[in-house]
Amino acid sequence: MEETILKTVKVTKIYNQGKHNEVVPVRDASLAVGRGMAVVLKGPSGSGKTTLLSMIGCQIKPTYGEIVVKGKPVSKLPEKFANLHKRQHIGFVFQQFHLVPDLSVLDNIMLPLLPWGMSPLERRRRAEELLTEFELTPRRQFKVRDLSGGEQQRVAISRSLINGCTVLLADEPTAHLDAQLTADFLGYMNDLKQKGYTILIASHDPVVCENAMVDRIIEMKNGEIVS
Amino acid sequence: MEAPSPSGSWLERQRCIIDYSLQSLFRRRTKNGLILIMYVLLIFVVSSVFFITGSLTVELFSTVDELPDITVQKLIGGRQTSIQESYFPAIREIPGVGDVQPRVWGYFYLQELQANFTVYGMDLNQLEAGDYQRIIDWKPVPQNTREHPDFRMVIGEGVYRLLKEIQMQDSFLFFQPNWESAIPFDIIGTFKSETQLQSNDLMVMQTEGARRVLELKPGDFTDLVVHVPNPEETEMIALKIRRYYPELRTVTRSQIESTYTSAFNWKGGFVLSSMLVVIFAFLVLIWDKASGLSPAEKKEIGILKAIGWDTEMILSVKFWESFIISFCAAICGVILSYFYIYWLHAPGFKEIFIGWSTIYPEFKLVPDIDIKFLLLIVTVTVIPYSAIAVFPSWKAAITDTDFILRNN
Amino acid sequence: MILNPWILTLLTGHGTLFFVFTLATINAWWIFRGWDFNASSEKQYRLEKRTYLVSSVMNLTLVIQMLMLVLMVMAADELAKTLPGAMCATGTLSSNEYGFPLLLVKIGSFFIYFVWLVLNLLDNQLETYPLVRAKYLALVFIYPVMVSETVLLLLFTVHLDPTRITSCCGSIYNESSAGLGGTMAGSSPVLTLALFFTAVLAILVWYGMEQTRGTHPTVKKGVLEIGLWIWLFMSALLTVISFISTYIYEMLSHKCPFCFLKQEYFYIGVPLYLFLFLATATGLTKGVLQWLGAEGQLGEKAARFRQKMGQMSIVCLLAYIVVGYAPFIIYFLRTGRTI
Repeated sequence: MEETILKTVKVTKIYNQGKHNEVVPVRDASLAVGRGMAVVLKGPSGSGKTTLLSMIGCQIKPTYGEIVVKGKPVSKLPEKFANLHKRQHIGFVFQQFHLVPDLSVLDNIMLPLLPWGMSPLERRRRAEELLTEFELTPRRQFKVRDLSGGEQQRVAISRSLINGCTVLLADEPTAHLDAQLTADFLGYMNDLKQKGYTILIASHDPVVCENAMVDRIIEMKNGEIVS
Repeated sequence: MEAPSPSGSWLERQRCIIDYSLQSLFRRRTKNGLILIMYVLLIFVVSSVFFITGSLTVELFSTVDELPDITVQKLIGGRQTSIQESYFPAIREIPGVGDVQPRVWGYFYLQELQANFTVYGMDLNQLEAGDYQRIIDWKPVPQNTREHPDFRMVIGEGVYRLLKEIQMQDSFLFFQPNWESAIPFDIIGTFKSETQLQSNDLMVMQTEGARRVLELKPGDFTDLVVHVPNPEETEMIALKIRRYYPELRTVTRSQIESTYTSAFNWKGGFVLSSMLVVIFAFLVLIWDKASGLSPAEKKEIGILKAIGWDTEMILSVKFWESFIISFCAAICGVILSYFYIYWLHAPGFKEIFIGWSTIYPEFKLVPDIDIKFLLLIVTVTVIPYSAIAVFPSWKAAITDTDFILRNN
Repeated sequence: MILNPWILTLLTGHGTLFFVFTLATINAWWIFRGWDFNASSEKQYRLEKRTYLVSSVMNLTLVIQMLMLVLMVMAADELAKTLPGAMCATGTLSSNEYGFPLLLVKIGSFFIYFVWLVLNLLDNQLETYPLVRAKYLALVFIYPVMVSETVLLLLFTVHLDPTRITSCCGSIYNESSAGLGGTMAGSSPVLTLALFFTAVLAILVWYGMEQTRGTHPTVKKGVLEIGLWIWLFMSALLTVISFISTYIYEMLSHKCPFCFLKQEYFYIGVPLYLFLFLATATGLTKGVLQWLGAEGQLGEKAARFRQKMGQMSIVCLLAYIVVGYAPFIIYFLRTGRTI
């Protein structure tokens, strides 16, 4: 029985609960993802997949239900401890990448390490490793705003991996990419999966859903998991 | 990539935070530069006030030992008048009194130059022979001084400069409208600049000459000074003098000390309290600037939170940013102020503190730095600034990551 | 007198902190009222976010408040120059009826703030924030202390009168004068030393017993420990005036507890009081930590904190004894007799 890395039990998120403008983007979502699996959360815009992904990634707290990441329940944890767990175990790639435009590639990649109180040398070493792996070394001192879309994506992926996590969450990673870059991205994901990473991607892109590395597709509609 | 070892120590984390804060400050250098400049100016003024009051107090206290233990004056109708010889024996008899010395001195106002001189009478032969001889630049004795030994004087540098303007630097004519004739005084020396604080507007002349100029009758004196060997007894003796002679007023040295210190502090406080308006305006400005964190700054906070930074860490960054600015401003302000007060001798500022006279001493202020003073600067400036900067940052730091990132 | 730079500084610093403390206390009350860790409502999340603000702000505020005690003593010393009859902080503080009460409140609040800061630190390290309600309620009770400090400071500064003669330390800390100062100065050194060293012994024995017999914390033990440290602090102050000062000044009649903070005595007062205050603060905190019991994560964490506080308190106490009694030992070795 493979180890369950990510699990949600009847997770619900309600905004403005009890008010006239109440919104329920996710309702009673339950899923489980095992170690080394690549799973896609599929659904149209507004189906709640981004919200669910954000909750699993400890970005938002659920209103009801339980979320377990690498064996630890995180829904009730105060932000400080949820963050600690997140830092240790989860890497997140955002749809818009969300890199700091004024910082260099190197500095952006090292950002998640500052809360660790790591020495500058050690930070550099880890960042250089990733720069090499993702062929970003010639661009290390460039400001992020001067990079192309594909390069920014590679920076975003590097940043998400620098904390040595083995769980990668990606939100609509191919939304702004052309076919070639999408293929590159899926190539990276496959490499990571081979290394034992657990991957959860929220996407409605058929190219992603139909890729060979995907082990399972979970469909969402109107905030609920339908399959 | 292996997972990092558990979080480093608090100190190491602070180091990382400070690293980031410095970088962040540099990235927004225009805005932060302006704030820094304003802040430096503020601290410059505050520390200049402290420096100058400190130095002048030191200067003053160094001369305070020269002040008489008790000065006795006679009052009639609340105004000071001359005191008669007849008081001396009784005061001398009071137990504990060491010596009683009458003094002849006063002010002479020169209309043409709008200058007030202090006239002091003493035996100039004693001046020539005694300890004070070395603080005077003696001039060659003019021919006719031997005929008028009473009409000689030694003057301060400030007086000398003024008299030079009217070509009277060798001999000065004293005259008042009610006098029969003018009295010429020969200037036989000037006080050296190291005594400027005391001697700048001083004219020391032969006692009889001083009497004439000040129109004091024979047997009358301006006041008395009483020397009391044991300082513990000063207050008691002063009290006794006032009891025996209710028409006499006593001023002790410690009373003068307190008054001078209060006056300096009062002036200092006055300048400072007008600064409070500026300080307040500055705080409002900072709040305004900080609460309107730019969209870019807000987004950056959102990104940091999204990648795993705590609210606490973000607040720490903001705290360190404001602390670094205010601390650097404090250092720069203090150094600039030191330079201004002790190298440039505080042009413009000095005049507020040292006197109402038209004759300004050119003396050099002595540096008096106290660690307590630096602590004061920190309390007055760094603390309010750092404290206030936290609130607006907190507001941004607690907003849902999602919300920030979607909306910026 | 209010335009004196020192006074303006004290009032500005204190005023800022008072304003910030008030805002934080209001928030603390809301948190206390609404806190329910097990709720997942938006309201609870909002309260949680508020705790970050209150926590950070109070950390900063209380640390600075503790520094203000130091600043106040320095200011009192400086202000002595403008008050007739005053030669040191004693003269300034005794120049009106608010000076010494202000000092006493400030000393008391120093310890209260220290304990709160340690409890806050402890609470923030536990995932369930078990002490949130207790500590924010405590903050609401601490607020009046802050208010009284501020009021006393205002009254004290407004009533400072440079035309009124005040007593110097020589007349206050004099055996023949009435009042607390005189009584303290006149108390027999043998008695005060006995009181002090008995307290030291009691604390050492207590700690020793804890080490050997194991530490099961109870409220009663906590209260006892707090009592011991209060006894130690008061008797230490007595010995400072009746004994230690004599050997610092090498004069039987000079017993002022402030004069030896000055440069001419090599600022010996600074480490002396620093160690005494730290020892007492950490000791008191250790006592309060006994109230948290031994159960669960809280108990475990509290035990680790108690150990640290205990170690610090002993180290500081010993350092205090060394600094305080060195002048006596030096004098005795030099002259072969006592004063």
